[in-house]
Formats: sequence, structure tokens, C-alpha cells
Amino acid sequence: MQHYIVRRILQLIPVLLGISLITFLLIQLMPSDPAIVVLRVNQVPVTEAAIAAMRERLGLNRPLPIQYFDWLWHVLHLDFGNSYVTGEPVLQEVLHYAPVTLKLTCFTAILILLIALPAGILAALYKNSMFDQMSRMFAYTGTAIPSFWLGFLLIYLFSLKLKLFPVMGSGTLAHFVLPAITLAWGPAAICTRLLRSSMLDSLSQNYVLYARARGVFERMVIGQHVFKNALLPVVTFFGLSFAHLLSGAVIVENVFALPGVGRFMVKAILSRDYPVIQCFVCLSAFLFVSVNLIVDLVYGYLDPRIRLGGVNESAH
Amino acid sequence: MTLLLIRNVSKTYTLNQGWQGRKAITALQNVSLTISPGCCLGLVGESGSGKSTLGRVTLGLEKPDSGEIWFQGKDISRLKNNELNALRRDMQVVFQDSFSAVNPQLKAREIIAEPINNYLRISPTETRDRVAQLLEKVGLTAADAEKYPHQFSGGQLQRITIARAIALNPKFIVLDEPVASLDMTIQAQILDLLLSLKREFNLAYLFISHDLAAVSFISDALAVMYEGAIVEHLGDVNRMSELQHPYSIRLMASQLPAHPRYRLPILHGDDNGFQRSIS
Repeated sequence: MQHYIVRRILQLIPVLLGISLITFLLIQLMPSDPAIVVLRVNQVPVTEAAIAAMRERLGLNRPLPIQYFDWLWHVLHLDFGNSYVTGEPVLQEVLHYAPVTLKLTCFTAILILLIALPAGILAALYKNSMFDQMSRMFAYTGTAIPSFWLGFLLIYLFSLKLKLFPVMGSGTLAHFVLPAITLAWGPAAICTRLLRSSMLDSLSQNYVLYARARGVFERMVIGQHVFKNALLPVVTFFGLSFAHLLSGAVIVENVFALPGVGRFMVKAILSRDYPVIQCFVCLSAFLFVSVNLIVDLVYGYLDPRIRLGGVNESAH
Repeated sequence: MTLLLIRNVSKTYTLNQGWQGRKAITALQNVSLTISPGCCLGLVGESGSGKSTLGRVTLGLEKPDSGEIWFQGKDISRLKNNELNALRRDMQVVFQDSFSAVNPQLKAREIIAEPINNYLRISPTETRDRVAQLLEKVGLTAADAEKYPHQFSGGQLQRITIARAIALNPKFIVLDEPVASLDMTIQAQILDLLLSLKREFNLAYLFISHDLAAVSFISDALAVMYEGAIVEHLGDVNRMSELQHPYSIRLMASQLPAHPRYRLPILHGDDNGFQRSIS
């Protein structure tokens, strides 16, 4: 297992390097010159001389590879430069907004599991029952409704009409309930259906039938043979949707006026605050890759064949 | 004294053929059998003759349409699943395809320990010892306990499913073509193993096969099945030459002899007359 973890972590290095390169080049490909952007936000008159001076100050006149390695060196020391708008270190600003977004994301992830695991298992065990039909409806609506609209509906019903939850802000836990529901509905719906279908798939395996024939108690059949095997695709989807949640938070944070990274990012994009955008892209990529690493490790735990790298040696 | 008594069991499947409507397929008609403790009944017949269905009905995996199956004084066909589970401790099964019969994510140790954990409340150390004994009993080593199914060959994995089947000292095992997908040499080894286990633990087998040679090696009695019915029953497998039913004779003739010179004549051309003589 240790060998497997080390191997997976080493594989991350080229991936992260590639991401940093793309993030860096992305800014170079932008239509507007960073020097002009800085001059505009600081309300300095845009003249030839001012642009040249600013380019010199930002180090934009050096060859690209040197600029890249210089930037990468600073990033490795967690220095993403200063914001064009406020002049403050970027990382500090992003970290200032991060707790709200992280809280929202974790809250949502827990909500997804709380809904999807029991609902998926029950829908599979009582296939085509009333409950299964209801979970199907839940899934269709969940995937069909765009999250910003759902957010507004929830605010209208629970905050304005029923006055159960606050409309906006982030002071208490109650502030996170509606945003988390908004974010969780879609992924929870997909997770439920995914778990249902992979449970049904496992249920039809011969060794499940044979376990019943040998008198293995139903609780053990479902727990040991069906559920554990059925979890694999769900874990994959969950890992991917966790990263999706981070970007989905951008919309939901704006709808519910949560002061999180998402809202901060929209502002940065509108004002072309490139260092902030770079920092955000790098950090989300890092998070995404880390979550996927965790998913892979969970995979290794759930399916020992992956860990041993021996799937191909199988006689069948 | 009988361990298993099957009386007048019938089973019909309906096949849904879409716009062509439904078609009824008779898998078993009026099948009656008895198996005594410590005896092996060989059940032979061609593919689709209903012998595997009989195995599944005996295991309680499917309910017969009519008839009775008595095992240890209880009628299996009328029991609910949770009542059946108590009986299943004494009635285990080994299937042809060992790879689909085990959960690919469990180690050999966990596969063999499953029935033990299911029925007995014993400590992990005792379980471990029991698994080691069982592995040795079926000709594997204790080191094999930590391997996963895909690391075994077909013969080795079949030994593991046999170890799982005898883990609780059952009285009766359904062997559904246990050697059909193995090499000839491995087949012989597994049959040897099954025979020695039968003698050691006084096991009764229902040995389902289409291979007369294998059946005559391991069985005490023999039943020949054709189109869902038992067409011939032989109390002593050594008197196989006394088989009289046309299908039985044809089945015997289809076996490859030790030398081509001794091959029995194959019946040709009178399939219609043959069908008539059965019904």
C-alpha cells in the first residue's frame, strides 16, 4: 500500500508542473496587456512612457521562459505576487475568503452523502417501488434545474415566505443551509442513481446468488458483496463532483451573497486582476488533483486488485 | 434412511418472446429422487436437460411449481428464506465456474471464513486456524490464504470453493459440474479430493455432470435425465452396462473409450423413433 501511495504522489509532479505552465501561458494569451490593466486600475494616465515603465517594473520585458521560472519559483514559496487592484499579497486575500467556500463545500459534500447513500441503497433493494419512483423524480428534477434558479426559488420559499432561513450573509450555520441544498441537489441526484444502478449490477452477480444459496445472511450479502463493490463508481463521481462544487460555489455564492472565494474571483476576473486569477486556478487545480489522489487511495482500499496492479494477470 | 427426498417435482419457465407472445419451457417434469447420507448420486444428461434446474430447486434458489423436496425432515419448497438459511448450514454447493462464484475483492482467507463467520460465533484466531486446516485439507498451503482469486488457477480456485463448502461440516453438497471447465489432469485431482472428503466426512453429493466417466468414478448411484424427466435410475453405478433406455445408451456411446477400437456404435438417423420411445 505504501508503495502504491508513493507512486501515485510521484505521478502528481508532472501534472502539477503542466498546470502551472498552462496557467502562466493563459495570462500571456490574454488580449489586454497586464501593464495597461495595472495603469487603468490605479488611474494613472495610459501613455507610452508609463506603459514601458510599468512593463519594466512587472518584469514583462524578460524572455518568457525566464518569466515562467521566476514566477514558478515564487509560487513554490507560496508567493503568487500582489493584487493589481489592492496591492496586497494575493494568497493572503484568497485565504481570507477561503473558509466560507470550504465550509460551504464540505457542508454540501456531507449533504450529498447523507442523501445519496441511503436513497441509492433503498432504491436498488426496492427496485421499481414507490420509493424508487420518487427517487427517480428527485434525480430528474435535480439534474434539470439550474442551480442559480433553484437558489432563488429556495430563497423565495424558505427565506421570504416562511422566514425559516436568513436571505444572505454568512454569520451562522443557518446561512449555509439553503446554499448547501442548492449545490447538493444535482450531484446528490446523480449519485443516487449511480449507486442504485451499480448496486443492481452487483446484485445480479453470480457470487451474490451463490452466497444466498450457501445461506449467507442477507445483511452480510448486501454489506460485504454488494455495497462495497457498488461503491467504486460512486467514489469516482464523488471525487469529480467535489472539484465541481468549488466552481459551482461561484454561482451559488453570488446568489446568496456569501463572501467566499467564488465571489472574490468574479470580481477579480471583471477587473482583470491576473495574479488573483492565476492563484485561484493554481489552487483549484491543486485541490482537484489532491481530491483525486484521495479517490485513488480509497479505490485501492475498496478494490485490492488495483493496488496490486494485478487486474491484467487475471485468468478471466 | 434418506437425507434428501425429491418427490414429483415439476418446474416450468415462461419465456417472454415479445410480440410472438409467451412460450412455456418445461424444465422438470415429475422428478423423484432420493439420496442417503454418505452417498453420491450422479445426475447425467445433456445441456438443457434440466439437471442444473434440479440442482437450483434442491438448493431452494427456485421454487418448484409442484412437488416436494424433503431435507432433514423439512419441505424446502414450502420454507421461507430465513427458515431455509438454518437448513443451508448442512447443504452447501460447488459450482462449475469458480471465478464467478467468489467475490473478486476478497482474499482466499475471507472467502473460506465467510460461512464460519456466518453461522458460528468463534474468535478470529480460531477462525484463522480453521481456515488453515481447510486449506491444507483441500491441498493448498497456508500461504495461499492471503491471495486474491485472480492470483489462482481455475483448479486452485475450485479447491477454495470446495474448502468453503466443507467449512461447516455439512451433510450434503450439490456439485454442479464442478470439474467441467478444468484440464483433464486437474479434473482427476479434484475428483480424487471430492472422493476422499466424501469418505472422511460421510458427505452426500448430488453430482451433476454430463461426463459419464467422472460420474462413474465418484458416484454410488446414477440417474439419467432427458428433457426434464428422469428416464433411467441405476442403484449401482458399476452396473452401467445394464442401462437400457435409448438415450442412456446413446449417452454411453458418446463417451470416448480408452481405445477407438472399443467404441460403441453410435445410433444414427432414427431420432424421431427415439423421441417417440421416450414419451
